[in-house]
This record gives sequence, structure tokens and C-alpha cells, in this order.
Amino acid sequence: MSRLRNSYLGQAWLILLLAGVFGALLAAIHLELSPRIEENIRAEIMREIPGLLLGGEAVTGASITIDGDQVSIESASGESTSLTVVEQPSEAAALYRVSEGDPEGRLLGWVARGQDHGYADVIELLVGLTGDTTQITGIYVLNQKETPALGDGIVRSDFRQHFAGIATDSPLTVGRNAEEAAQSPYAIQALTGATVSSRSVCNIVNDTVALVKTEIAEPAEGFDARP
Amino acid sequence: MPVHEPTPLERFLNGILPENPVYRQLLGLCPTLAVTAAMKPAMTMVGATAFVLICANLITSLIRHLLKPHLRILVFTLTIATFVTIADRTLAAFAYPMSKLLGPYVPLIIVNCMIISRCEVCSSKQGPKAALADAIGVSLGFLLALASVATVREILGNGSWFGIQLVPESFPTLILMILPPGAFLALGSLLGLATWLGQRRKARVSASEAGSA
Amino acid sequence: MEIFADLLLIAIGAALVNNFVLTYFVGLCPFLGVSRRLDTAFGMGCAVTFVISVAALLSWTMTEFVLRPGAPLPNWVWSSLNPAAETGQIDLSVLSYIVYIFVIASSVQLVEMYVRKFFPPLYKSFGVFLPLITTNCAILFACLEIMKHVVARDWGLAESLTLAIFGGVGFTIAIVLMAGIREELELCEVPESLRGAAITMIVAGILALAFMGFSGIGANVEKLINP
Repeated sequence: MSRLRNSYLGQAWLILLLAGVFGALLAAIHLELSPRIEENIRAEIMREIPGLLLGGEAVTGASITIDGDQVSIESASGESTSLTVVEQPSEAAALYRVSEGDPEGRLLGWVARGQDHGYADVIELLVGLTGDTTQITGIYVLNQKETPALGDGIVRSDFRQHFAGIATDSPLTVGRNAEEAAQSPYAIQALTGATVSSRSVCNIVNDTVALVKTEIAEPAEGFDARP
Repeated sequence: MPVHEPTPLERFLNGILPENPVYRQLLGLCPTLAVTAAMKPAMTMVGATAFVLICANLITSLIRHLLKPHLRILVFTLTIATFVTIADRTLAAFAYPMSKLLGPYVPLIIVNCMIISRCEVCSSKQGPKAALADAIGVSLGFLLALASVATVREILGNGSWFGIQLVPESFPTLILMILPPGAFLALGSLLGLATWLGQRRKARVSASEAGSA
Repeated sequence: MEIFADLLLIAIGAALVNNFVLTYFVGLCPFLGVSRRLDTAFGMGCAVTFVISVAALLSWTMTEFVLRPGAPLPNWVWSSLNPAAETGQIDLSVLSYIVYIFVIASSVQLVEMYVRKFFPPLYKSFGVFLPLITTNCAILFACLEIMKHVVARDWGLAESLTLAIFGGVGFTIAIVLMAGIREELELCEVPESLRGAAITMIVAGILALAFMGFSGIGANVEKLINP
């Protein structure tokens, strides 16, 4: 024991042994837990997709289960729907093709993830589009660090509701109050006291929609752009 | 003169109040401010830190006779980093929303001065029983500190405790307490309170000693 | 022009808007311990900035080429040892934290040797505080932020170094401000129970409140550069 302690070579062997033991422990943890962690990351987005494309009422009180590519929704009344979500190769952030039933089923819509700088920090959004990309079905805020009680109202459903059903043939603009917003079918009403956050969300939605349209018009290799 | 080595029970009791890591030793202030906006993340952080502290203390206590003195910081760091990785991955696998909320503060447990200081002061000198008692005691002290700050911040800033709404929704709350300045103000006030209570106790003890002398 | 705007945004964000000490609460130990006098505070700020930059450079290199999922170096080694294996399978990210802490310890050693050789009086005045920079949360925090963005393939070397250097600058600003205030506080009658750490925390809270006013500068600077 004391000989081990007094010799540098012995110490080196001890450190190597410790490193080996810890390394093996970490490798075991990695092999065991990585699949679960990746599933968690995917599930975060998949869980929001039904609400984005089918509307808020379809998912209130419903239970959503995720199994690989399939998302099954069992509504409160007992009806069950199943969607297949397949990620498409894309230049920018993630883009998902959502079809009813199996992957060969009817195209329900597209969901894309976009991000850009907001007022305080980066805002990350999910934007839902109809299958022909002519209408936005809704948005969902994944990540934001806006001012509490002011800018962070962008996560509230009454603000996100402004985006549901808006046509995409012209870029969206922000109106500072209800009268300004009513002047154009492409205008959304900003949050009181959070014009910059609202404008940032609007810009992110515009950029994401434009990106999705380009990617579908000129699909990359492996991109399933069937209508 | 033989050096008085604290017994496991003394180590355990010391860590809770007399040598409280946050209020007395001012270690581990980063998580005390960062994750205490609500009770749930605070308690998760305490759990993760306790896990790392207990495992690191046990392991360093078991190999304390094999190490040359100048290599011990290296071994402590290696051990702590390994267990923090394990804690972080386990949290991400089984409680992903909480892991996202805690963010970079779980890996920052590695540089939490509290853990290295306990390894250095206690477990490199005493056996596994004392090291375990010390780790549990200090974890309880950390729990006390974080719970006190989190309670103040969550009740004043959100009107809730552990997520349970305590005041009606329309009641105005001090949102500042959830933001960074509120963290500093809450901890500063509580530190002042702890110091005042300690000074009062000392004054009473010395007054009773002077009275009986 | 685009890259300049991005770097400026990151720099302002790290130094002012999301100040390492006053928003993220990292680097508090030297902030409390070394902020009694203005000159030691400034010296500590410069030392931390130097160490953060060196550590960020090393950890970016390690993350980009070895540690991230799909990193080139381990995959090249594995495929030369085992030509039949699938490429891109090796993921060493579970070793990240261990590698970072050793990178930081080595950076501190490097900086210590450099300062001892070229600025001996400065080295003597630092005393024990220079090796203590290893346990400074700010450096590990910078490495973790860089890791997050490198894994998401967002940032290159320029952005990572900008975050590190201006994070250190922000730390220096905060600690120098605190030192100036504490020098004045010594002449005041602070209540006995608040002396020391408690009053420093309360003053830091007021400083943090002031720094919250910087929120939104980033968005407006970006608008200036990219109208």
C-alpha cells in the first residue's frame, strides 16, 4: 500500500485504472440512456404536431402517444386518429411531413421549425402549414427568453390564435392594435407593450414559410414532396 | 496533542446548520441563485448535488490511502466530473422537461466549490462512515438553504409553492423575485437574517456564560 | 456584413444583456471575494478574460473535432481500424464534461506559467487566486454554451471566441463596478448583520436591475446594421 503510494509509477497505474473504471461506467450510461434522450428530444416536437395541424379543439382532453414515427391521438370522446411524421432533409432547421395514417396516407400538412433573435434572446417556433402550403394552421413557441409578463405572452394561445388560418401568399405584418390589424388580412395584432417580440415572431413565421415553399418547389434528394 | 477527529455524528450535524455550505461558508452560490425561481427545480438540483456529493465522498474515502497528496485534486475532479455526467444523463433521460429547465446548471455542479471542499476536508482524511455522514449532513444543509431561497422567491414572485397556486390568479405578484435581481436581493436578505440570528444566539450564550461565571 | 452583425450581437449579448455574473450567476466566488479593491478586481477580471479565451479556444477545438456526435477524428480512427463499420457512428459526447474540466485546468496552468515568466510582480499579487480560477463557474459555463451551439452546428470558431472574450469583458465590468461601490460602502454605516456578503448581494441585485435595462439593445443594433 505504502509502496504504491510512494512510487510515481504506482500512482500512474492507479490513475489509469480509475480512468478505465470511470470510462467504462460512462460508456455503459451512454449506451443505455442515449436512445431515451433522443426519443425525449423528438417527442417534444411530435407532441405538439397534432395541436398545430388539427387545431386546439381536437387535442383538448385528448391523450397523445408517440411510437417511433407514429403519433396516435385519442380524443376525449373516444375517437382515435393516427398521424405519421417523417422528417425531411432540409438546409435550415427541421421540416416534417405529416400524413394521416401511414406514410402513404393523405398529406395532412407540414410542420417547420424556425428561429431568430427576439427582443431578449433567441425565439424558437414551430409553424404548421396546410398540405398545399397556402394557409398557416398555427404556431407553437418552443423556446423563448422574452421579458416575463410582457414579451413572454407570445406563448399564450390568444396571441398564437392570430396566426391560425392566415393565407401565405403575402408576408405577414404586425398591427399595433385591433384597428390596425383589421386593415389587412395579412396583419396580426401585436401584444400590448411587446411590439418587438410580436414583430420578431412575425418575421420568423415569414422566413420559415418562405423557406418551406422553396424547399417543396425544388425538393432536395430524398425529400418527399408528393402533394 | 492528538488531533480531535470529528465523529460521523458530529460531521452529520455540523453540515446542517453550524457549517451550512451556503449561509456560513458561502459556497455553492451559483445554483442557490440560478435554480431557485421555483421549488421544483431547486429540489431537483439538491437531489443531483446530493447524489454527486455522496458518491464522490464515498469513492475518495475508499481510495484515500492510495493517493499521493499532490494528485488528489486531479482524482477528486475526475470522480466528480464522472458522477455529474451520470446525474445529467439520467435527468435528461427520465425527466427531460426538468433537465431543459435546469439547463447548464447541472454540469456546473462540477465546479461547485462545496463538493471539492468536502472531499478535501473530510473524505480524504476519514473513513467511509464519516464521509457518508458528512455528505448527507452537508446535503441537508444545502437543501435547507435552497428551500429557504426558493420558498421566498416562488411565493412572492408567483404566488405558488411547488407549483400549487396559493393566492388567487388576479392577485398582483412581485415578478421581480423570479428575475435575476430578485435572486440577489432574496439571498442577500436571507444571508443578513442568518447572520443576525447567529449573532443573537452568540450574544445570548455569552450573556448566560457571563451570568453563571 | 452578416457575420459582423452576428458577432456584434453575440458580443453585446455576452457582455451587457446577458452578463455572466448578473444574469447567469456564474463567477460569483471571485465576484464576492476579490471585489474589495479596484485594482485587484480589475486584475482578476483581466486574468479571467485571458483564461476564458484560452479555454474556449481549446474546448472549441476538442468539441468540433472529437467530442460532438459525428465528429471527424474518432470516426476516422474507427473506420481505419474497422473498414467494414458504418461511418459516423462514434459519439464521444459523454466524455465532454471531463474533457472540459481538464482543458480548463490546463489553461489555468498555461496562463499561470505565462504570467509567472513575463509579469512576476503581478503573479505575486495574485497569490492563491490564480489557481482558484479553475473552479470559476464562468469558464465552464462558456465552454458549455459553446458546446451547445457547436453540436447544433450553429457557431464556428469566431462566434465561440467572441462569446468567451466578451463574456470575460462583461465579468470584468461587473466586478470593477462592484469594487468601486464596495470601496464607497466601507465609508458608510452598514448594519452589522448585513456587513460582508449580504450587502454585496443586495448591491449586486440593484446592479442586476440596472443591467436589465440593456435588454433589447441587441435587437435594435441588429436593425441598425441590417435594416
